[in-house]
Amino acid sequence: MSTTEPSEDISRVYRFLSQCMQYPDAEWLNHEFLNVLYNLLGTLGAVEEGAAIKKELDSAEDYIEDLQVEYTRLFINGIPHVIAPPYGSIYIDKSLQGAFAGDTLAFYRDKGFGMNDDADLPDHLIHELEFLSLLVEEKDFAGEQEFLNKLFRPWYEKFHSKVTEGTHHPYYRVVVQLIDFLLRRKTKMAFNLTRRKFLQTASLAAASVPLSKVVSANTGVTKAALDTKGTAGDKTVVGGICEMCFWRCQLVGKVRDGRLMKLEGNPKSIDNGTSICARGNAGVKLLYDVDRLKYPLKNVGKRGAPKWKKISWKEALDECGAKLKNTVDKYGPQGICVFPHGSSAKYPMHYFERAVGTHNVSEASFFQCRGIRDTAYLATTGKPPGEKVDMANTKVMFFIGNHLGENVHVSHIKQYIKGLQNGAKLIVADPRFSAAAAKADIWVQIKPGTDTAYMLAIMNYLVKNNKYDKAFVEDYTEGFEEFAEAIKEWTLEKAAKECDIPAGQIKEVAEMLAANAPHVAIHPGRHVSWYGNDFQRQRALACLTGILGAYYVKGGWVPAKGPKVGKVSWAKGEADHTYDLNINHQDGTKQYTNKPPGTPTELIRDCAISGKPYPIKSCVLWGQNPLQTIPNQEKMKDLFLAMDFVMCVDVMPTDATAWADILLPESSYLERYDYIKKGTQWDLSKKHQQFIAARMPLVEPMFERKDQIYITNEIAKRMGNESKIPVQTIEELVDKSLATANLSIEKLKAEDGIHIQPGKDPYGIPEDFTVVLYNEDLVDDGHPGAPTYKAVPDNPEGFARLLYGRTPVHTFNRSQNNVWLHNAMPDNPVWINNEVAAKLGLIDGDTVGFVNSEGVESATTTTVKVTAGIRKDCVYMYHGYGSANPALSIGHGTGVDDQSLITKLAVDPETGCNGMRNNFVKLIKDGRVLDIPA
Amino acid sequence: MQYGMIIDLERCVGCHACTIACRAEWEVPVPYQRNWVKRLGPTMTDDGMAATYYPGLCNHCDKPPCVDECPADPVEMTFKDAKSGKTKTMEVAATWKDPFDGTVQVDKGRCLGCGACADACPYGARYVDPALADDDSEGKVDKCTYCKPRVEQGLQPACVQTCIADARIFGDLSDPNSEVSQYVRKGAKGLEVKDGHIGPNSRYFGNKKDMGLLFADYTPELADMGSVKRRAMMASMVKPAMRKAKDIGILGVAGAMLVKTLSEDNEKK
Repeated sequence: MSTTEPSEDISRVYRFLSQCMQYPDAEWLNHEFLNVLYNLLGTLGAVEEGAAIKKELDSAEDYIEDLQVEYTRLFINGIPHVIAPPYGSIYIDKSLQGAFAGDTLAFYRDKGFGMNDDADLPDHLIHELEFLSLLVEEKDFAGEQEFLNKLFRPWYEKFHSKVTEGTHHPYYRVVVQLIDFLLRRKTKMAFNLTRRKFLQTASLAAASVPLSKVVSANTGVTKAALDTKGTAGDKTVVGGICEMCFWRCQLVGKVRDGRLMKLEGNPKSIDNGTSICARGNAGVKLLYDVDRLKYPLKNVGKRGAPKWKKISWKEALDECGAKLKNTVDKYGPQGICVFPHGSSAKYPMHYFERAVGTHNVSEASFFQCRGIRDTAYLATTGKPPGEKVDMANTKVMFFIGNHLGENVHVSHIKQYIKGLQNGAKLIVADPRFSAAAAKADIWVQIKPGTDTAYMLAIMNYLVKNNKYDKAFVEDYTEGFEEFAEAIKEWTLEKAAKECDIPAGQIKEVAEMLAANAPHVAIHPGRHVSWYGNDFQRQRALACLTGILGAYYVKGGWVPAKGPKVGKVSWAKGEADHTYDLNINHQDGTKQYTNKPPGTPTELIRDCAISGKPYPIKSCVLWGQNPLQTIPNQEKMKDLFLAMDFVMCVDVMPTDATAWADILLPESSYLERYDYIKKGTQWDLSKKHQQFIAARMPLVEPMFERKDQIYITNEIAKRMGNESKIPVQTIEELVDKSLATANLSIEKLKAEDGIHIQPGKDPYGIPEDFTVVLYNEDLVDDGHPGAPTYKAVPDNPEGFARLLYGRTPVHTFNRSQNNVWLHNAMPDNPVWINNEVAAKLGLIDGDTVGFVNSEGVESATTTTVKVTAGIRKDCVYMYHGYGSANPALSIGHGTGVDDQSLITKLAVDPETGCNGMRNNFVKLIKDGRVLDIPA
Repeated sequence: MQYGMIIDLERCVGCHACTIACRAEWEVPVPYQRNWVKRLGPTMTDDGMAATYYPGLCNHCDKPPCVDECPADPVEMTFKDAKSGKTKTMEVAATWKDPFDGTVQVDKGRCLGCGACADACPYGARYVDPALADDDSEGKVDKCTYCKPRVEQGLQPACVQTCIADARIFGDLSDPNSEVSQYVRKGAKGLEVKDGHIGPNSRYFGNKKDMGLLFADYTPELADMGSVKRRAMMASMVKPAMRKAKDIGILGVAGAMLVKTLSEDNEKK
């Protein structure tokens, strides 16, 4: 029998309940603790409940690990998704860090309490119980009651039922019941005892006065105001740089009570101005996404079918360090392969390349996206082209497959719209009536894969009819004669046949370009890894720009003259190509002569899976989801299975994170310093200005999310590379980079996040500029010297070519779990030609699945969009849908994953990049496979 | 003064920045919306292949059919012109058209959540949020306010501020020199109802082909006001009755019948 003060008893009960809900650990969840729990349950008449727990624990091989896995699944990052996040504001505000969390913290503060640095969010169940314990200890029973009514009971009931429905373990079922029993107002007869009896038995009768208040009815929660406030009165925080996509618009945040309410374009920006796109606006929903990674996780299940267990950072880093070091010791640095993406992946990528020394790095942004563009222009003009076309001041825009409007980058769209408003003509070649085609003067409904033939015919026509820029060709090009000779076979008629478009239209386009040259914007494209013949198409674009004299002139290809800011990263070592998979070691030649930086993906995958020419045994994923960027998902899974160790760092769960052994949570772009964005005013004809803006956090990171410098450095220390660490913190890295431009974080903050300085006139051809129309080096490497058309495989009978592209509300797969963006476009309808649809008996809105020509079926279905705006030989869908990882409670299984149907590999011979539009599909409706009519 | 908004379809790229910015600014819960972007086409029209967008929002109509239908008890309300300081007092229900700036606004505090105004709107620009239900209502209606609280502070509406293509222009249609008035002179048109005149003040500008597609697909008809009125009337009768019935624990036969009719109305929608 207790002889203490009743307040002390109640306080202990609260603290005991809080302890019960802590992350399970052998330190406290030992036999002594369990005995106390069983005794308490016994006292309550809940002997059976206690016995159920005991039975489960006694039969477990490792009961702590079982409980850890269950805790992680229920409360942290669950499969299929987190079952019952233990935060009040999830239930009240439908968001983490909602106003409810702020109210809770305010209540703590009002009572003279605060949160420790290492605490979880204020509205976490554990903290609420701890707080109640402290309040009662101070005998503030009125406060206790008020808190229970306002900030505990309103959400606990929902939480309780979620746990009860979702848990697999009696421990949590009983513990939440116990809390419910002791703290709820209306007691269900959960245990075989009344609350009153318990209070007596537990010697708490003396406390019946305050506790009777607990059970007495009282007013509910104060209702939130009916009208939302709007953000005009919120605090503005400067320094954000968006990374919902990779254009990196400059932001400000609107913050209310520590919660980021809204993102806006930074009014000081000369790039995006106050504009941000749908994705940028939805950044707050990524920030507070309850499915986001929160703590380091260890997979105690299988790769691909994970069972997650929360572990400490120390344990996670120790394991990553030891496993990676073991790979290096046993197989050499080349035994590690890295798949990075995004600005936070640069520093770790450089670590593995430069300090560890592996070549086996495959960036999706190169090998499955724009690398071909860059190396093709490098082989033509010596410069990667970016998307540096002066659309705002041009007379004609020429797009091959660009679908601006569906593909959205804010300042790029501003240039495009300004150009159109100024009366520029727009030519769009696309098998589909895209968002850009809808604004075009000429829509070239080209047969997929034949773009190079189309451009060769345009160029041949210009040459044959003396409509090219002779002065430019004379002064700034090489190899014109050989070039002209090489393309001479491409008459309008020949191309018309190959491309399935009218010869007259090709002529019309050529004439339009010639009449407006050199003020023509031949767009280099962005995602260009399409058909495995892409290097030649990109060369053709670069050469077409050349013979029109459209480099460095108003309306042409013009690189703006931006500011210089130095980069700080791991020191480069001496180049050693012994284990470079791209080098043929017999003769020293390169397999892919024009590859982008890194090693072509298929060389890495083949080596890793076969073990030849050497073993690759560890895989690092950092911000990349290779299952939905790289074709042939089964091959990627084979790579994962061939590894001794797979680690992954990301912000959100993805299909790939399910294959990690250790999964580390990274702070998002809104919570960290890192990227330095620089550039000029978007309209090149306006006052010349330059800007520099560093990414600065708008809010503090929640949970145990860490930035890339911390994670990389800690791993480096454990791999014996401590002496090579270039910077200790992310702030140091940013400050050192900024110092090269005489700036600092502090100065940037004082300048509202963006430094602006006078710029330079971008127009005017540099003296040494040369366009290599016929490239002898390419000939030496066994490639054609002039752009050359290589036909792609035709549709097998009964199949349509699968084309994919972007939606303006998503960035690939990355944003699929964002509730606002998902709601704007919940699935990816497949576009199908209206005549084809009529023959197949399909109507708008029908549900269909797919099977590709290699027999791979889509795991999910989508709807049909019947339209005259697509050719009959292809179908089209938005990329990035259909996530397979159930940890994404919103994005999982919505729409079809186009990538799952892209299984046939088409590797570009010059660059080693993956072409992804040589796959063919049939539709499946109601279990019936539909042959696509020819 | 009459606020209005122009949406320039020549500029619009259909990116949804406007709809998401509105969500963030006003915490509009999914799946409801104060504004929307629908994609039209591609489809073959008399003017050739066409595709465009329908970025929609409240039209703050000259004669808003929604306002007349509100069954909430009228109260006297004094309005003030921000510029001249003039005031005007009039009787309004829980939704009204502002006599000075021409916007249509809602008082959620007095809203019964009956949805009659939402049914009356030919554009579907209003929704009832059941999460805001209280003792006096089944929810609260919500809609675009033309960002009145922002505009009064000299800011642009959230959708206008974020628009990446400057396709949304906000201003005073009664000022002939405003940009919005210049657009009207160039041919910007509202989606006026078929066989009626309610004077929508969110207006669209575009080429013949795109405007043709938009107006063919989204010219609305006036709602069946008979059923709207019936709904509003019953709401005004039933709400207090239902409350009372709930309080005494009995729902009378007549009340039950009314509730049944209401729910049938819902199903027909």
